[in-house]
Amino acid sequence: MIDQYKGLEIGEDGRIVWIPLAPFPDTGDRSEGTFAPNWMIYIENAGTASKIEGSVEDSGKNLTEYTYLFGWFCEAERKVLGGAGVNLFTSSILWYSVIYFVMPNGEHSAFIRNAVHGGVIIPTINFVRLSRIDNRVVVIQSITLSTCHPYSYHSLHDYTVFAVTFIVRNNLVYGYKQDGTLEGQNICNVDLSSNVVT
Amino acid sequence: MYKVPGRTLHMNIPLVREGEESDLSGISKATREWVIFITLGGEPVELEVFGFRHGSSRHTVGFSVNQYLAGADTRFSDLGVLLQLDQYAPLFEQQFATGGLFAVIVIKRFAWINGELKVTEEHTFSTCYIVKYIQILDYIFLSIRVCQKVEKFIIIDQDGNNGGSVVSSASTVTGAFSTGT
Repeated sequence: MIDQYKGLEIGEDGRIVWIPLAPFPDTGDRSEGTFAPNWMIYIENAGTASKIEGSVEDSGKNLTEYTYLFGWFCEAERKVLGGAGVNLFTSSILWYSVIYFVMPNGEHSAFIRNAVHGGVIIPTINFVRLSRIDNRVVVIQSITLSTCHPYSYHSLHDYTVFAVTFIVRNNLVYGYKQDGTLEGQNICNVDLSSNVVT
Repeated sequence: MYKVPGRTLHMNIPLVREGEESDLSGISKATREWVIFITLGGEPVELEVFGFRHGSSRHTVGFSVNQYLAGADTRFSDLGVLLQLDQYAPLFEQQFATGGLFAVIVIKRFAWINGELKVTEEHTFSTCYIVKYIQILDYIFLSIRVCQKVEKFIIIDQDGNNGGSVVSSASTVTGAFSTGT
């Protein structure tokens, strides 16, 4: 269950940000044994890389261009006045938090630091949730962020925590039946620059 | 109890299957206990609820030796619902982002009683808006503003037969609250 997620707490802007980490079977401890990834992330121009085989149809890239993603966190909020006895007062402000990624150090680490220091805009970040179904590795969820502005990085021994804001978020989730066949997909695209949701 | 992370929200949400050793220890779909009935993309959908909570509160001044000072501002907490990530998640996000209205949301509790799957609780919420959307890896958490609710508790006798039901109705639109059987 969700309460078994371990989390990584980092201090930022005078508050604690809690980032859930993807669990692993049995021990739940990624310092033991070896493991294939559950989540992977591609950061454009950063040189994210792995030896993992497979492709992501949504991004048109191979997983060799992705690196492990141990955890991530983002929240979204809308304001609605709770006075239900009068007219509806709601705001057009749609708020998405900074999104945090926990990943290993690697070829991308220097780029991330430089991006934060120099305010380098990252055109695309794509991260995927992988699943093994009937001897295939498939993508269950693919989230694409466009026009990302680096917000912060934290260096934690073997890990880098990288945070960005984004302008466009595309959330794609595939549905699979119990027999392993594809059932369908749904997409939500939020463009915060034009305030258009499709 | 799971503490939902977030900048402005730290809601403790009771989990339906709290205390289980692992979510890898079997398939629960056939015996799901709490189910949400909701309309997404124009289609009725039933989804397993992994945790939820809601409540109400009232403001009362605590100086009991003086006049009785109680507020009329009965307040519904936002309905917190924890669901598993599936292909409906983008539709929830779309509803959230566009300020989409849910006319009715029903959450039912099921129980196996003497060979029958029976509904023992039925919580109906109406005029609802999602005000917070959080994905926590394989789960999504929704915080939903509700204006009216009807909560029905079905009484089951020890012999497994229905012993009637009790109902609480409340509306922050009209300020009307009642109970019934």
